[in-house]
Amino acid sequence: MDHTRDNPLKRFTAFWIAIALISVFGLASLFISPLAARGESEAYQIKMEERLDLKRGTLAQQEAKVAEMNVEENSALYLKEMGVKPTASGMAVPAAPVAAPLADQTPAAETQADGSSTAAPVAD
Amino acid sequence: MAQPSSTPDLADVQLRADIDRSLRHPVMFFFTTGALWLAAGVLLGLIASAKKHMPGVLESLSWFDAGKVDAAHLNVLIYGWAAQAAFGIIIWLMARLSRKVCQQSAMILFAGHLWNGAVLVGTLCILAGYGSGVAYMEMPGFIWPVLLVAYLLITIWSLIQFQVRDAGHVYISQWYLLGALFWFPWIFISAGAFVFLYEGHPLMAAGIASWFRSALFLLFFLPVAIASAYYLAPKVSGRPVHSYSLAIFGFWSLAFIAPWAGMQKLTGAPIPQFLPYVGAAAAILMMIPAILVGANILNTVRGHATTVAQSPSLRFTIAGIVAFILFGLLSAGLNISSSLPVVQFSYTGYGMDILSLYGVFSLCAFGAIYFIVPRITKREWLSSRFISWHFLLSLYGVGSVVACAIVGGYFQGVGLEQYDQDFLEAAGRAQSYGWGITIAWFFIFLSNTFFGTHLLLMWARLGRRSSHPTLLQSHEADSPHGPEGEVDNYGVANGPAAAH
Repeated sequence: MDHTRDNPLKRFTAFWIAIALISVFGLASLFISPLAARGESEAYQIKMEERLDLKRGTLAQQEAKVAEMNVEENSALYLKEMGVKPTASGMAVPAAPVAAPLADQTPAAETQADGSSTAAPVAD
Repeated sequence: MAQPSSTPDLADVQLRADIDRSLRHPVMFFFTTGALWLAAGVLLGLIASAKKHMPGVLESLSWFDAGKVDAAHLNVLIYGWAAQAAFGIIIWLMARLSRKVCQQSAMILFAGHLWNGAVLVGTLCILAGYGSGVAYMEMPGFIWPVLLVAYLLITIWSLIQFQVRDAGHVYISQWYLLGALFWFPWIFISAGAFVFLYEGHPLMAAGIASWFRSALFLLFFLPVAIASAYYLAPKVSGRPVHSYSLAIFGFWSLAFIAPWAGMQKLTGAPIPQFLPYVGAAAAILMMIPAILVGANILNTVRGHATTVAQSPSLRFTIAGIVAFILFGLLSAGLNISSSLPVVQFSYTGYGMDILSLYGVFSLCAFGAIYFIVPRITKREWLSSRFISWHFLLSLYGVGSVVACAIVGGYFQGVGLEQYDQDFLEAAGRAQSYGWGITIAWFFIFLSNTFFGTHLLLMWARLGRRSSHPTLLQSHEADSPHGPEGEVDNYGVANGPAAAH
C-alpha cells in the first residue's frame, strides 16, 4: 500500500469530495428549478381575468340595450305586428297556417304507357 | 532472476484474493437478489405481454391489470435486476482495478437491503395502483430519496477506492465506471426533483421523464456493460485492448452524445420543437460509440473464436457487444424523420427498451457474473449445460422479443398512420407479433430459471471444488482460463493486459 496516497485522511477527504460533487447536481437542479416553475396557472389567471372582463362588459352592454329598447312595453306591439296572439296562459303562440284549397289536393295524373292519362278532366 | 518477478506476483495474487474475500457477501447478495428480481420481472413481462393480446388473462385480479403489470415488469427489470447487477459489477471491478480491499462491505450489504426493500415497496405500490404513472419512474415519489441514499452508500466506497488507488495506469474500464458512478446521481436527482419535487409544468415533467428513460440506459447501464466488456475481453483472451485511441474516442463520444438523447419520444408534443429534434439527432449519433466500442472489443478477441466459444464470460459479453452495435444501428434507423412518426406509438419503443436492458446490458452482466462468482465463492460453476441453455434461450428469447416488437410495431404504426382506418384494425396488425413476444418471454423465463438455480447453488457454496473453470466445450490444454491447478485460480495472467 502506498501510504502517501492511501491513508485515513485521504479517504475521509475523498468521501466528502464525492458527496460534494454529487450534491452539486441537487444544488444545480434547485437553482434552475424556477426556470421550470409552473407558469400555466399564472397564464390561466391572466386569461381568466380577461375573459371575466369581457363577460362583464358584454352583460353590461346587453342590460343597457334592453333598458334602452324598453322591451316589455314594446313587446305587445311587436307580437301584433308578427301576427302572434297571446294565449290564456300568457304564452304567445304563432297563428295557425291558412288551410290550402281542396283543389290543390287533387292527385297528380298518372300517365299510362300508351301516353293516355288516368286523371279526370279538370274543369277549366 | 525469477525471484524478484515472482514475489510481486504472489503478493498480487494474495491481494486479489483479499479483495475477493472482502467483497464476497455484498457482491453475491446483489447478484442473487438481482437474479430473483430478474425471474419476477420476466414473469411479469410474460403476463404483461399476454394481456396485450388476451385481455382476459388474470382479469379477476386487479393487481395484475394491464397498466399496472406492464409498469411493474419494467421497473422490476430496471431497479430490481439491472441496477443490482450493475452494483455488483461496479464494486468488484473498481476494487480489483484500483487494487483496494473493500473496508465497508457491511455498510454496502446494509444499503443493498435498503435498496431491495425500497424496490419491493415501490413494486407493491405500482401493483396496488399507487404508481406515479411516469414511464420508468412509476414507483411513488417517496421511494426515490431512499433509492438515492442506498445508491450512495453502495457506490461511494468505489469512488474512494479510485481516489486512493496506487499511482499508475487508469484502465479503460475505470473511465466508464467513473462516468457511470457520477452520471447516475446526476440523472436520478435531476429527474426525481423535476418530476416529483418541483411544481413544474406537467409537459416539461413528461419531457424530463423521457430523457431519464433514455439516459438511465445510455449513461448508467451501458457504461457498466462496456466497462465489463473492456475488462473481460482482454482478460480472457489474453490480448491487450485493440486500440486505446478508439477506446478514448468511444468514451468521449458516448459522454457527449448520450445526454442529449431521449426527448425524441415526445415528437409532436407541445414542447419546444428543437428538443425532439436534438433527441432524435443524438439517438442517431449513438451509432458512433456503438461502432467504435464494438469494433474495438471485437478486434480485441479477433482470432480467438475458440476462446469466445469456450468461455461463458466471453460468449455472453461478445453477444452483448453485438447487441450494442445492433442497438446503435436500429437507433439510427428508427429515429430518422421518416420512420420516427410511424413507430412512435407502437410496440417498437418496447422492443428497443428490451434490446437495451436485456440484449446489451444483461448479456454483458451475465458474462461478468460468470467470471466474478467463481472467484469470490472459490467454487466453479456446476454445469456447463445449464450455462449453454441459459445462453441459447436468452439469445433466442431476446432476439424474438426485439424482432417481434420492432417489426410488429412498424406494421402497427403504418396502420395508425392510415387515418381512414379503424383503430382496432391498426392495433390488430400487431396481434400475432404480440403472441410471438409472449412466447419469447416464456423462453427467457426458462433461461433465467437455469441461471437463477445455478447462481443460488453457487451462493450456497455447492459449486465444484476445482480450479479448472467450467467451459462450454471440452477442456483443452490451451484453456482461456489457464491450466488445471490450485483451487484459487486468479486469472490467466497471459500478459500485461490480463494482469489487472
